[in-house]
Amino acid sequence: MKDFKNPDYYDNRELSWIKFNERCLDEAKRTDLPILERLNFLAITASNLDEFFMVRVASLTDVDQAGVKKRDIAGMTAGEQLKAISKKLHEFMKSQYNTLNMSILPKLNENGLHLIKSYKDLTEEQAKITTQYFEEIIYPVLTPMAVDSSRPFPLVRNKSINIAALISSKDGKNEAEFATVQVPDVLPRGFFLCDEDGTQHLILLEEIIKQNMNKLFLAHKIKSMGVYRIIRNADLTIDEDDASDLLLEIEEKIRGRQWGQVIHLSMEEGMDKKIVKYLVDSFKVKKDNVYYLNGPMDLKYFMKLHGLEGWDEMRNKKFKPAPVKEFMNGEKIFDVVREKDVLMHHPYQSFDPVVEFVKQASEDKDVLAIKQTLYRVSGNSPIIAALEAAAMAGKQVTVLVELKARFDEENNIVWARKLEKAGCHVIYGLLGLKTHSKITLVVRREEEGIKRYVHLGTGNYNDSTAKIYTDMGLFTCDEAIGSDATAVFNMLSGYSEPEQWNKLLVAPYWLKNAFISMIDREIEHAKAGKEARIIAKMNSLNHKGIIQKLYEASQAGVKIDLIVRGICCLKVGIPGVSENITVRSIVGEFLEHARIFYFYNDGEEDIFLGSADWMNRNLERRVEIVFPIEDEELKNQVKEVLFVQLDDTLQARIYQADGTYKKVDRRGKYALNSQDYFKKWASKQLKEEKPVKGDRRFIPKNAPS
Amino acid sequence: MSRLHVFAAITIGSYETTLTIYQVNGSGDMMLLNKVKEKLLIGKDIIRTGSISNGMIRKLCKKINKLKKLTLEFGAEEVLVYGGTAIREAANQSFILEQIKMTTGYEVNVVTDPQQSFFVYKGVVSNSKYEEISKDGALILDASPGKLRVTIVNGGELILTQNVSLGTLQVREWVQETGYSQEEQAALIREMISYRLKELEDVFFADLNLKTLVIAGDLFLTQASWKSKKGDMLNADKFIKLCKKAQKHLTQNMSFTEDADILLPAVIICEEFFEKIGAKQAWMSGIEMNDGIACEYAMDHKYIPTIHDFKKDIESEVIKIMKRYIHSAEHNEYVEAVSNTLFKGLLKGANLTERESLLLKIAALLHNVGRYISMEESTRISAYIVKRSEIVGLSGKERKMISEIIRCHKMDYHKFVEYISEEDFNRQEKVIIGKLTILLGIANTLDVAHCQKFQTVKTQIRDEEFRITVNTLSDGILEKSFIKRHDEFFEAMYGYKLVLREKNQRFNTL
Repeated sequence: MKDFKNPDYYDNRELSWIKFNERCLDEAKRTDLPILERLNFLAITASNLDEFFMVRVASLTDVDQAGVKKRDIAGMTAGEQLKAISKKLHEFMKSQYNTLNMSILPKLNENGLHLIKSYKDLTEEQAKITTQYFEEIIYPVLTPMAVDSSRPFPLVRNKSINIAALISSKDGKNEAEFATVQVPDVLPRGFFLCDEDGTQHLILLEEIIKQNMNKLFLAHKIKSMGVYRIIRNADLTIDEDDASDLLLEIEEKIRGRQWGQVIHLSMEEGMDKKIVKYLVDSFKVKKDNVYYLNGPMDLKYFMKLHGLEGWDEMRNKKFKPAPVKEFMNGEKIFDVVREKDVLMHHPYQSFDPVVEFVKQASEDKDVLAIKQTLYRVSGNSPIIAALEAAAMAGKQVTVLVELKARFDEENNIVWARKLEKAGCHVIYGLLGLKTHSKITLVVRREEEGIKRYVHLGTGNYNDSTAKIYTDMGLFTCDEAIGSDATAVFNMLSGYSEPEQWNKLLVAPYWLKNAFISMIDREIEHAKAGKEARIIAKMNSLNHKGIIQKLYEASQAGVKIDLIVRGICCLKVGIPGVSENITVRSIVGEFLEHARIFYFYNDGEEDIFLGSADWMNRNLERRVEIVFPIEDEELKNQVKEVLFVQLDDTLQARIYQADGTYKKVDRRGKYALNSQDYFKKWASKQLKEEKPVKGDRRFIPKNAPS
Repeated sequence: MSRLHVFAAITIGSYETTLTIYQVNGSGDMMLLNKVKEKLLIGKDIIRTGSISNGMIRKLCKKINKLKKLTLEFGAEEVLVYGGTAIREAANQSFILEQIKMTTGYEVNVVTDPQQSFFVYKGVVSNSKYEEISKDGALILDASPGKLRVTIVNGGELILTQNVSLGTLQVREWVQETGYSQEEQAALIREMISYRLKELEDVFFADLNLKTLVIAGDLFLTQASWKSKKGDMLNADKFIKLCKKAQKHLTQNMSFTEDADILLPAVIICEEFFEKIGAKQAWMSGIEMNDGIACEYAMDHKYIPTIHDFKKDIESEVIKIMKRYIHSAEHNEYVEAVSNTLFKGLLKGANLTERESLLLKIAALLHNVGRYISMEESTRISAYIVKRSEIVGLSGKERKMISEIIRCHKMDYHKFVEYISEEDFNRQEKVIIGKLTILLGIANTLDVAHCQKFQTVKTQIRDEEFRITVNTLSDGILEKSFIKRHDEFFEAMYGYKLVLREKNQRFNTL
């Protein structure tokens, strides 16, 4: 047997992630997309990048600085990875700004939205207005800071935009001093100026400040100035063992996030060399981590333009999720689910039934208890409101609010306190594990016995993201799943683990082995000359054990099709290793988020949905739930999702043996955008009766090569 | 809705506190809704100091309150709380119970060892596998942290229950004191267990042919490699392999496997028992005390049909105890039958229950077992033997009551009043003891010559009299003269005059 551990068989996680961000950037480059959609994709790449710096680059920097020479699955040390990342990201950011300047801004201009890149480009009339705005609104909130021997370099906040300047006394007697001023984040970043012909001109706050910089240093002359932005290490290391109150500990660490080590410095192109040196020295940033940008800092601001009123012709038609057919006749959710399991596909189908489920439970006199896990919650969440109401109505409400959900820690602390105040039993999460599973359990006393209604999902209980993330959710009152759900919450509440699980596959201890066994089973079938097939859809794949098993399966003749949106450390097309594996990534209007696992199992067709990716963190360090879909009709529904995605010829990009992703060669194939397909499917299923079992259009077949 | 019943059982064990919640629906189907365990080693305090520390009590109350919340989540209408070995043996038991009552609102029933065994047995009986395994003989082994409990069934009948002070927690403490290395510990434990097992084997199950070893309790089933086996029936080969594998794993990973030092003795005990009794298979039942508690509660409340006559099990074991001491049991059986007749005759209006009928029956069967030791002090010694015997299914209080009934059954009323007033019983209990004592006294007197002269004994209540009518072929002078001694006692207890009427059948009359 081949040694599947060879590092050459694996892609580096970080470089693979950069490829994903490149695929997002490709969307920003697509001239066939409405311009605000493209700008939005560009902003998404910038937002993704911020997190990548704060977490991934930061933690690699920590490892590198600690002198650890351990190699990753692709055989790279932290230092080597940082070098490779820096090289790729310099190219990437250049490409971002090229896209902005060469393609997006001219197109926006054509459509009547003009970005004034520099204050120097303001007309006299415009300059008057911006000056007035500066004097009345901006000036009072600014804190300019000069640096000299008596005034040390100030602490610059993480992700803040700042203007650095070299100033000298007007008489020119003293040496130039360094000064910096933070662009206030309490004010809107964009300022619109409107022409008589209706053209909108947008100037960013930092340019208005630059325009009026001399007013901040009255006795001085501005010799040169430029905008810069830093990103700090924001990877929280929480000492959970010693934390007497996890909530307070996390609050403390979040405050500290503002002052972590600087791991990225971006500056506007053409910045005075003296300022550059001053900043690089003061922040102690390596040369590799300094980026010169040909345009505004922090492109994620442009997401806001996507949401602007008007400009409808510049973005996709607003999509309204279709109602879920089963819940349309006004029956109580409990009554519907008692009859049969209901599977929902968001955002094509509305997320409202999930909110309604918790709401109805909070008002139902027969409901005894509600239990839910929350990872990322929307602002003003109706689910939180329903949980509060339930607790106030005297129901037993237990909520696990994962305080360690990265960058949602502050939000979650607020929710946790709010729920506690309403009388809910709030669990902050498990020691050393993040609870990423999405499960709601409602215990109801009914005539024939205690009934447990369960909702299991692949996405968060977040009604906002449910409109833009593709996810699936199941309502069921299956007794075995209900009993498992109780066991999950027992475990999360700190009670003993269950003796055995009936149907749910739960991480960290059991899920990985379950996946390995199911892959092994396909291997056995393939070796026995039977048909063997695995289709798995997930966000990321980097678990070495699983990848090795997939390589083994590929060699045994198992046909494997993977739909991996983001990181994929598995390599395809390696002779004698992975010829039987295809990988595709779908990046589209909605963020692909559902995790679906299909095992042919000699015709039995085992299908699972869940919250877990095939990643180390999901299988080893998180509480995750993967659940089976058993109803034949629902199984067909999930299969349809998989096979349509495997047939996607417009949004899918196929992973190549050379490590690149290429669009599907459409010769001889029809044009299919899977996300558009499901939009139509959702409204169509309201009108049509479901076809008879087994008479579906989508039948398992080999994936396109 | 009223046809649905949800109830919970909480057992406070030496090592962990277990909560199980059940429901019984209108069709009488019983279903487990939730089961959780909270680890708290209260037994450790008992082994070391004989009492449970204040800090530990505080933790225990906190944990019980946490479990109480879970019972609310299912709307449990009744929560039955039981204390096992550690609470029973705690010198400060009364104060612990009061603390629990104050903090959680729960009244804890402290159970005896035989009661604990009986609950486990009831749990086993309620399982569908019971019928199959009980036919060919089975030993139910509960190697719990507090005690080692053995129950034997054969031919569908309960043969024996026996408790041994060999809780795995205790074994752990002993082994730790020796300071032996991890490798040596397994051998030491095996030696210790073999020795105790030899005693049991010689006395109790040398001649029995037992096909199945039933592993009760799920503590060691939680050990990783055993967990998935719960409910399985393993053949000898598989079971022994499993034991060896677990021992190897636990010995090697003693320092970093949670509970390994408790699990190791448990595994060795199971293996030793399996080999000693020559079992052919092991049933990894995992059944616990709570299962039996629930089964009893549901049957007592008629939520589920009676699945087994547990009273008969108690009687059958009492007869076995009796036979250990009495060579010829005719007198005991006669006294038992007569006392039962008297009891039934008085049942109406005497404020007595079926449970008290059982107590009387046991007292009648064992009232003279002390003769085996001394003819002279037979009553006192009989009472002592009963007090010290492990009688399955009885609470400590009940056993003590039976002991007192035996001790007093020959006393006159005044002596009884004088004696019982000093004893640690409440008013109700004293009344029951009095009522049953006098019935045993009368029944025994009706066979004072130990030759069962009266062929039939009938009773009737008429005109403030309780009339006992006997048929005899021989002269009953002795009995008639002795029975007068009970007149005052009987009247004080039941309010009737005692009248013995004889239908003499020595002569044919018309």
